[in-house]
Amino acid sequence: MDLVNDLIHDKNVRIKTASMLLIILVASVSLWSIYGASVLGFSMNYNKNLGTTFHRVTVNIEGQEVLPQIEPLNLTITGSSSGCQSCGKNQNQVSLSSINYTVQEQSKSRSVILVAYKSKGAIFDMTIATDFLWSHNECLDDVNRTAAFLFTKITLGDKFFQFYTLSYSVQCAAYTLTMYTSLLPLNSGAYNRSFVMANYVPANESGGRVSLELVKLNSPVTLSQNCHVLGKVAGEMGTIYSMNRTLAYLAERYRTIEAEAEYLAKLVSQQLKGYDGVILRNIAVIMDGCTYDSDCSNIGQGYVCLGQSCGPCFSCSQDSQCTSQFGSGWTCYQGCCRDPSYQPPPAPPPSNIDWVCVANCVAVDCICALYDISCPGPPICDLCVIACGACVLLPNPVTCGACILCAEIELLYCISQCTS
Amino acid sequence: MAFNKKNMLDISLSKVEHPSVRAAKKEPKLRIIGLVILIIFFIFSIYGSILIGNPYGVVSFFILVLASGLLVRIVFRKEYQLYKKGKTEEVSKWNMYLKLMLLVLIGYPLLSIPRYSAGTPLKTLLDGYAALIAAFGTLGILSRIFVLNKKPKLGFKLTYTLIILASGGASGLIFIIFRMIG
Repeated sequence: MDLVNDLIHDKNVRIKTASMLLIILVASVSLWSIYGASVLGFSMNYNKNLGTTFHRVTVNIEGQEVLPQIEPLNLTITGSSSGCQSCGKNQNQVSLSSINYTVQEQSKSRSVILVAYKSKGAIFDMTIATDFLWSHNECLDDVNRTAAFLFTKITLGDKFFQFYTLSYSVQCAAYTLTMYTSLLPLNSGAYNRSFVMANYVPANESGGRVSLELVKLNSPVTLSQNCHVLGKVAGEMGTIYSMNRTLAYLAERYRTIEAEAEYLAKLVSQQLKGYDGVILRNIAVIMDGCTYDSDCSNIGQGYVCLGQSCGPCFSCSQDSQCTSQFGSGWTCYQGCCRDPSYQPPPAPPPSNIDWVCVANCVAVDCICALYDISCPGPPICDLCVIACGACVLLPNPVTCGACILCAEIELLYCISQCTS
Repeated sequence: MAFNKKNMLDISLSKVEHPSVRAAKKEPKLRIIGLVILIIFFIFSIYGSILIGNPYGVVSFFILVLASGLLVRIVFRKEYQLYKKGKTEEVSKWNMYLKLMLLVLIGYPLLSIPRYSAGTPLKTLLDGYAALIAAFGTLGILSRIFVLNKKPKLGFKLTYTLIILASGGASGLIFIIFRMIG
């Protein structure tokens, strides 16, 4: 007992014990961080590629739970500034002049178009019959929503191809969102496969980088569930983007996609019950459109914002060159042809500090201690909280000076990251 | 004679403050500064939790506050006991500073491990480490010059104004370094 007392009262032993406890404490905080990341179900591999805007998302569904696995998608395409040089040389292109369209039937619920075209000397007749099965319009003060469900049958001789289409469009002053779903039927109550293209195009905002998520569902789901799952994926991606201060602007857009996908899911489950069948294989693309040419720079060299999406630059000097090559409405802007939807972007904002970004940066850095999903910054905030806690408990110039300095460094770090 | 002595003692008590009394008067101000910064960080933790959509941010904040409590009771045990007894002048601030510096030197790399494994670039972590060492080094030098030598002529406000100005300058340099690296 005396030995124990001696040990306790021995100064060196106390210091060693204190040091050991301190190391254990800090190490336990570190382990908590790792645990926090694993509990949240995010792949560590994903976080090794912070700042990527192209992802492959594989979705597994267990019961009611949607479990997305997110990994970066290498989509870098190197394009030439003048576009594809060899296109058309060896391709069986159909001349536009050889196609004839004839509207055979046109009503509110059905349209039939006869398409006749010539290829390799032979004339082909193709019939495109479209049935308008359902439509929905919602015009509010600030937003217009339109949805339609169509059945299309394309007949070419004795062969035919049929598919369903669910189109959904949301228009408001800030953005245009389109969700286009094509469904290949299997039988009367099920679909073989679906492909969804969700595209968010900001109206006049500073674009930033273009994002693209390639989503694959590993489980069969119904049409409404498919919309719901895509909404969940968009929400998850929004959360991830909100963690990265340079991509935080994408978070709000993805949350909009999430909300609208949920709305569409509800519409389908309530108003399209007869067509809300199971889809065996589901693939979707969620993307954020472009505003500035710089938005497309991460896709490849020479890529520009054509209109609502990125594409290679087709060189031009005047509008007529674009209209003769691509059709009416195309314009020449800054040496590249742009599609009819293209609107010259507003001037970029002057260089300044983005205070919302600073607030997000500090907030994310401060919660990263245990919730380490994608900490972009150094762990300064963690030390600040410890130093400030020490200042409150044991106030003196050293502890409080450390607290003030630490807070100052954290703020300066975030300002440096959020100054354009 | 006895009457005069008592009077002199009364006069000395009313005009000359004991160092611990003087120090005790400064402490509430320092504590308020620390508390305000801590509250700001707490607000940011709540904001972060709202941003992410779960309470992990607030939980992490409280765990860190708990860690600071343990730190004071373990690492600054002797100083804390002296503080509790009101013997604040006997607290060796230089020793406290050295312990704090040691904490930063050890704690920062340990806290960086999970971030590094989660994908934070090593360069960013090293930048933060360098910035903290520079800032704490500045704090140490300034504390040594202005606070720890106990010059009676230097007032509390003047000392802290100088510290904040000097650390502001150091931070400005750190900011420039961050911008250059970024």
